[in-house]
Amino acid sequence: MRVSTIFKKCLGNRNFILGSSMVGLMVLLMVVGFFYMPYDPDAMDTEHTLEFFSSQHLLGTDQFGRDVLSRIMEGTRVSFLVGALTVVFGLLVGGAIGSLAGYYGGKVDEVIMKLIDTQMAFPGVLLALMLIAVFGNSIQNLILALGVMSIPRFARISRSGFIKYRDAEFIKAARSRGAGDGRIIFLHILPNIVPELIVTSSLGFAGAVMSEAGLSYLGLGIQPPTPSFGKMLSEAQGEILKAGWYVLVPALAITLLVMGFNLIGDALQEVTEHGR
Amino acid sequence: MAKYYIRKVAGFLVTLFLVSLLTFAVFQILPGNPALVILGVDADPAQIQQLEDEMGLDKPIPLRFLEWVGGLLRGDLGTSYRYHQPVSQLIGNAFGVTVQLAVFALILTALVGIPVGIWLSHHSKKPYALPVSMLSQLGLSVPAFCFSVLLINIFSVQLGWLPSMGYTPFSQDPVACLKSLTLPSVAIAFGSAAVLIRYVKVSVIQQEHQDYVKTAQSKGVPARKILRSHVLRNSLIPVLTIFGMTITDVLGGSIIIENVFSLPGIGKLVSTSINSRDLPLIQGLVLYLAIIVVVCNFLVDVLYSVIDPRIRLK
Repeated sequence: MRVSTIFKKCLGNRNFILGSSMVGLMVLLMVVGFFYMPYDPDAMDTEHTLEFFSSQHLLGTDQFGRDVLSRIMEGTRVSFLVGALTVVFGLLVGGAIGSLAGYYGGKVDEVIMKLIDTQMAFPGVLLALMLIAVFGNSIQNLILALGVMSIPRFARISRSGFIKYRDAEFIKAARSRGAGDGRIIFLHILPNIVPELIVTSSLGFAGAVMSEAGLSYLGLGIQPPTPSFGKMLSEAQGEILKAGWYVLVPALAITLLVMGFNLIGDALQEVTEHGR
Repeated sequence: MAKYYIRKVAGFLVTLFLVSLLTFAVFQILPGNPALVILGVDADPAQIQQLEDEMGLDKPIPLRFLEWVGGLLRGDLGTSYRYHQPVSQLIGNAFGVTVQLAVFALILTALVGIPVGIWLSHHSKKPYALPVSMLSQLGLSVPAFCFSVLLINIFSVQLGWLPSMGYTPFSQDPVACLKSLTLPSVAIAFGSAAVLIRYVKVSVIQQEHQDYVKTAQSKGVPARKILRSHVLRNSLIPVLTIFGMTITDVLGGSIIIENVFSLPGIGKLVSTSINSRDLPLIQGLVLYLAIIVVVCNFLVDVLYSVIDPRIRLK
């Protein structure tokens, strides 16, 4: 299917429109934040703490009187950075080992799948927590931990793609013309599984944003004073009796991103599958 | 048939071994001296030396792994540095809370997920099903800890019906115990029920397109009976595997949710042990949770082959 038809179909898909508006809103907040922010996100103002939404502070102020909107704007950077790098890591590493397993099959496949299954035994953020416990707490280690966590997802999808195509007629034809493994893997099979990989990336992005927020909520992710949605959520929870609205802001920001990428992923899956 | 089970058990044992090897290995690549990491840079050298001896850091790694596995088999996971108690005892104390939370959440998941999934398989195109579909889409996308703060905000802060944190043991006050577990369980079940709904729905719809359904219809079997005695039995088989996945989800979810609601379970212990760099405790907890997942998946696999004997032939 051609890219332009996929794009046209996406525009007619309700989930895609909804999802990309959610993500688009957050992207807008991030991009605008690079040029203009209403306040310095770290500037404290002890006379105006935990104020409700107003024309001065559109999303109110936090327990130190910092402007919540500005902090959300800066927080989007962390989310997008962590999400994007995690997906790139998972795509490269998971995609590579999944392709090897699917293409070569046999013993290689068995060993790789056994390792992937072993990794899947660590529920939720546990694996990331273990890696952070060992390597220490920093944004590089956080991305590494989330990246490792996302490997099975990418490995499985590319493995099944390679299994589907490795014995196809056009692959046999290419092989009989003398194409080597590298050429077949990269030029003949990989382009065919790009749609699946894009869907997985979108869902993986949502997963990474959610895990980062969860770990930061636990105090084991992004460290203050860098604003991160998860950290803001846990700070806001501490003030829930005084300012119940405040928890809703970071919770909504996380939800918009996670849901947006999930919806885009679902929509792309629907669109690309129908075309076949 | 015996061959099938032997293969399954062998695979199960290999996975258990790999899980423990991985858990052990990760803690060996710890940068720097573990004793120093635990005690801090300004610790007394004599203390560090003592801890190194205790941990057996001077022994070769394979030997330490064997000793560690040997301890595991005897139920000895070492001693926590922070609590000065055996790790197995700490885990045992916290385990009860997590089990209660997980069971409560799983019951809610099944009670909501299965009937709603079946209902949606017939009504999903109708306008009145839209709110239900939207709720389940929300369940798939709203992170459980975000949903929790919303629940706390409504049911604890605004209405004051349920506690926002803390745990009351069942033996002390059963009603208060259920109350303290209600919000966390609902928060976890919201997401996992949504996943279950999706699978049940797809599975039922798939089964209804099978030939045996057409046969039953042409024989004049009432629709209700077809659903009950033919379709459901077949469509719930794949759902069982999903339920295995749900157990993993619930356990994974409880790590963060227990912290949101300050429940003294395994998840809370995980985060405190990481914050205090209590390595033996972290190692024990990680291994413990992973083993539970592996055992549950194994049991689901076996159950699956009992319900659907065709699996054993593949």
